[in-house]
Amino acid sequence: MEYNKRTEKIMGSLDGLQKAAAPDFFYTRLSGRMQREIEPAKKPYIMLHPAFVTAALSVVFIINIFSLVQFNKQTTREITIQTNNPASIENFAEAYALNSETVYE
Amino acid sequence: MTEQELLSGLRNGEEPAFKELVIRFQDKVFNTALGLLQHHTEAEDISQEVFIQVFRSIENFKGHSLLSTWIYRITVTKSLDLLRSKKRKKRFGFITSLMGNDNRPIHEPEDFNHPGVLQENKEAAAHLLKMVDGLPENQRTAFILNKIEELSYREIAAILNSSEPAIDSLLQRAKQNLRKKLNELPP
Repeated sequence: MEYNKRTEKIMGSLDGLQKAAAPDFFYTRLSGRMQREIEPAKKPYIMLHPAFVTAALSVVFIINIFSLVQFNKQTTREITIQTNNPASIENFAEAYALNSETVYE
Repeated sequence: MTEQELLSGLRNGEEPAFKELVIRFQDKVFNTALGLLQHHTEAEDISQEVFIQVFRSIENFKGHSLLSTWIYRITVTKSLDLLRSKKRKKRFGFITSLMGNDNRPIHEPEDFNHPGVLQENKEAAAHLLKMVDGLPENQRTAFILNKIEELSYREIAAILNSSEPAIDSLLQRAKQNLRKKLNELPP
């Protein structure tokens, strides 16, 4: 009997309960946390922005064209130098023994 | 601001709309989380996570239920997830202590005192909430939503995707289990 009385008292202990309110400055703390968590997460998406992608591709394209032009210029100059210089032709012939007589001749 | 205006503002990412939403729901979310978690700091943390989730997934809210139902559902899910993860950690801690990897005693949390309980009921309410902590998840959730957040059976049914008779039966079983446990306590 005593048990039942105690049990019912405990079971009724939440009657008349007042709801708990959120702590003070809840919104301030929440917006602080959101700035920390959400803003950095947004940054990588800038990389997928069409304007950023177009600009990046244009820069890569210009660098490629510039490199290609430079490379072509340099190769043409080297070939010209080599063909105009008789010493380099002799050196080449000497290196490959083109001017020595062999047993096959 | 009507619920439609609030939703449209949220979908457009307007800060005043988000602030209005937080002010409107912060007490409901915090009180529910506090009832389920029985820990002040964790309840605040989960409440913040609930609003962050709402902000991130407002596009997914199709309006098939009330906004409040959707927010309560997120609160319950997040709180139960945290409780499950705490339970797993506690179980793992117990196993490692048995294996001798950790000699620290397993820390039992202190009795939780809900700030809204009447002074003369504090001790009894702490007893009751400790027993509620041992109930199965669905019974505990229904009990907390009904007793702490004072929601109707219809509202609870909407939050738990259930029917009113099912909620009635869930609450009856919860009360039976609590009475049984309380009767087993030493005098």
